[in-house]
Amino acid sequence: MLFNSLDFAVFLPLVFILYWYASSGRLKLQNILLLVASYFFYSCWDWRFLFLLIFSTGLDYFSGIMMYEAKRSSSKKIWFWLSVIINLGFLGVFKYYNFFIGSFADALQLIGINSHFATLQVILPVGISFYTFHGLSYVIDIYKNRIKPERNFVDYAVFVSFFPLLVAGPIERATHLLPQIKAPRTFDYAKSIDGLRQILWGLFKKIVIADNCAEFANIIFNHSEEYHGLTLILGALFFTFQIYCDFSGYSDIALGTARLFGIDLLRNFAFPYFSRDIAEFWRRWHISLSTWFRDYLYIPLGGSKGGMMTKVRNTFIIFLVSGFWHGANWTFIVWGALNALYFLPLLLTAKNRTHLEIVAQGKYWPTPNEFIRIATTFGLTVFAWIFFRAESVTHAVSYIGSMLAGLTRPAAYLEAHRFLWDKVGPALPVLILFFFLTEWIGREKQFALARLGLSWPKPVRLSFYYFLVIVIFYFAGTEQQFIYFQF
Amino acid sequence: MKRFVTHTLLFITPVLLIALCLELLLRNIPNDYSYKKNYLDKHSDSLEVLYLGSSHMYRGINPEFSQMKGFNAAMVSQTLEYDYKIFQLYSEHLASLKWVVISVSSFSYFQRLETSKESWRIKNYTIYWRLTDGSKVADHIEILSSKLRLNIARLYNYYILNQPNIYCSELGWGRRQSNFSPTDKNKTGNEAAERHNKAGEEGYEGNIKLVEDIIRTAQQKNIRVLLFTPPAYSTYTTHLDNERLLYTIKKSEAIARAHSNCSYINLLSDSTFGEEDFFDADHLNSAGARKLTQKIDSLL
Repeated sequence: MLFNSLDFAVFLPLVFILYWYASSGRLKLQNILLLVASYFFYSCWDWRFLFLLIFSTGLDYFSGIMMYEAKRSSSKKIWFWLSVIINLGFLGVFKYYNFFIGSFADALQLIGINSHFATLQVILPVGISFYTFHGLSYVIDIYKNRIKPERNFVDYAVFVSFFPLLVAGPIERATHLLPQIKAPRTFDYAKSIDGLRQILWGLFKKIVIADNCAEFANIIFNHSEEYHGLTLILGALFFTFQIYCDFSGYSDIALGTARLFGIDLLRNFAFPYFSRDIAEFWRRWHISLSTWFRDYLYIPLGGSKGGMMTKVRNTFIIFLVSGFWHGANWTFIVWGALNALYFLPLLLTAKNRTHLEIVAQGKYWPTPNEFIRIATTFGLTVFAWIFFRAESVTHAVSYIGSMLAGLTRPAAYLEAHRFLWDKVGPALPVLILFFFLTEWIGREKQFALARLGLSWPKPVRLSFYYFLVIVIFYFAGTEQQFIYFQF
Repeated sequence: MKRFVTHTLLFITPVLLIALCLELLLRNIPNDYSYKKNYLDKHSDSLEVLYLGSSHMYRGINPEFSQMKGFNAAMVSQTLEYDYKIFQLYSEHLASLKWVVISVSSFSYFQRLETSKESWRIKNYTIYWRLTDGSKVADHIEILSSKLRLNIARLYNYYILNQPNIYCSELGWGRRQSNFSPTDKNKTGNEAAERHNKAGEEGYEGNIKLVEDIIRTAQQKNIRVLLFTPPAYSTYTTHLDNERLLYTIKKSEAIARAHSNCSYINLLSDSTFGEEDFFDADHLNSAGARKLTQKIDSLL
């Protein structure tokens, strides 16, 4: 059940009505309802994997209690490692087994040994990377005595499986979400309206920008050998907008939906394409994952407390693991390494925390210096996305090769002009411009539409929302699966 | 809470009303599906030949050139499942029927409409043919199965420009729109073959059973069945999945051997069809359709 499907448009109001009306504000009933709805939502993809989700939830719930009650540190350690190994084991088998086997076979072939290892013909359970990380953070926090275990299984299961975040995050923390699940929730009009606005903007980003850009990014990346120079840059640009609008659109819908149920989820994006350097970009992109790695990997490794070599090592580890988290392909690892390389000069010159405030705060436009920094960071990001999108590292290298070689050929410019004119047309560039401007105007808020239009007369404001609805229906691209569902 | 629900309902009511109007207006536009259903409702009793199949049949057989009274009930991307359902729907009203002719292309035994890229066409079989219940909500709603801009274009063309929306001839043959230009057969051959090779195998067992069911039902009514693989241009045939193609041919031959009222002919590389007979690499033009219709007619 996709957020942008008719099924969800029926499911959400039904759950909403039951949640607020039928439960009569009784917390226990509300949480049971959320759990049942979440399991139903998940089973719409593949009901068989629901058992895996329930097992993983049960394992972490039980391990948490056993760790807390363990009299000896050795038993605490056993329960901790049992949970970590089983959780990562599932992730390893479903997501990485074939990659490791394939890479091992390739390595053997390099030294002249031909091997035939059996690969698994399994599909990746949707959301496994997300709910595994949910569970891991919970278990680690208990092990480190940061939190106490949750005794109520339903409450804990809602924390892991709450349907807006179940399949693609944000990756929540027990310290943030569990207290909200346990506290009585009363209906908040302003919060709910805010939630609807966020859903509307998320749908616009996903259906209009991401799905339309996907169409052209797919054409160019899937037939990259037929294109050159600027057309390949266009392909990378289309993918840059696709991945941001796809994932941040999903996150906006998730956060907005959660708000309808009186729950605030962690913010996942903070206008990353307006970042002035790569460090700022990573503070604004997929925030819940970046902070997860910071808290559960970077800091335990020593963080930035050691010498420069330790900092560099830890930075590379965190970026490589982050890349690998996205999928079992060398392209993601190279993408992670490339970002680490971008980050390195900032780290070495201790400028990785220069831009903590919002760009051009309180102003209409950035200064020329800020503009150049934003454009440079954006360019570096676009380049890195080529590896993320390519089928293989070889594909990415040949893509970049043709892209650079084509820049010196006038015919390649004509090709790009034809592609834009004949295939893309004027509507999509105009829509991207509208999206960019709206995001720029709203960059100081939680999401682009958070405050936009609130001071306008009601008819104008409503007309703007209707305009967005019409644009969503009229310019809807060909439906694409949310990219992050595969992770 | 009440205020929120009221305001939300007030906001979405105009959207729903507009959607409802669009839906009604779209359903009111006559199309090939509604035309074919109406035709068969009225004339099924007098038909001697019923042609079923995908676009290869829809564009390839013009019953006008047949000596027997025939009707082409094929449509673009129509799978064997819908061929079967159409035949079953009228099986009790085909008093004069002597032949059922079904095109069997390399993908026919493998493809299911539900899992193909063309699944949006299912709505035509739920709304106009009323052949299926459709598993998804979108299968029952015009405005949800195509993009809004395409639907608005349809409304504009029909209601404002008064352009007809039925593209088939009186006897169901799929005419080309006059503004179509002949396309590059090299390019279309490769693209179409690639597209058809991708048809999954999930429909295989079901489709074979459907063909055999059609043949058995026909046998009970003394109707003969002709399966044939339609002609295609070399740029298409050379790019086809050879294994799958051979399997299709062998399976069709086996089916024909196993049923006394069934025969099969492979016209895929028939030398009587030249470049001048094709609109694109896998569809015949009007001259080609005439030639194929006469050829098939000679076999009946």
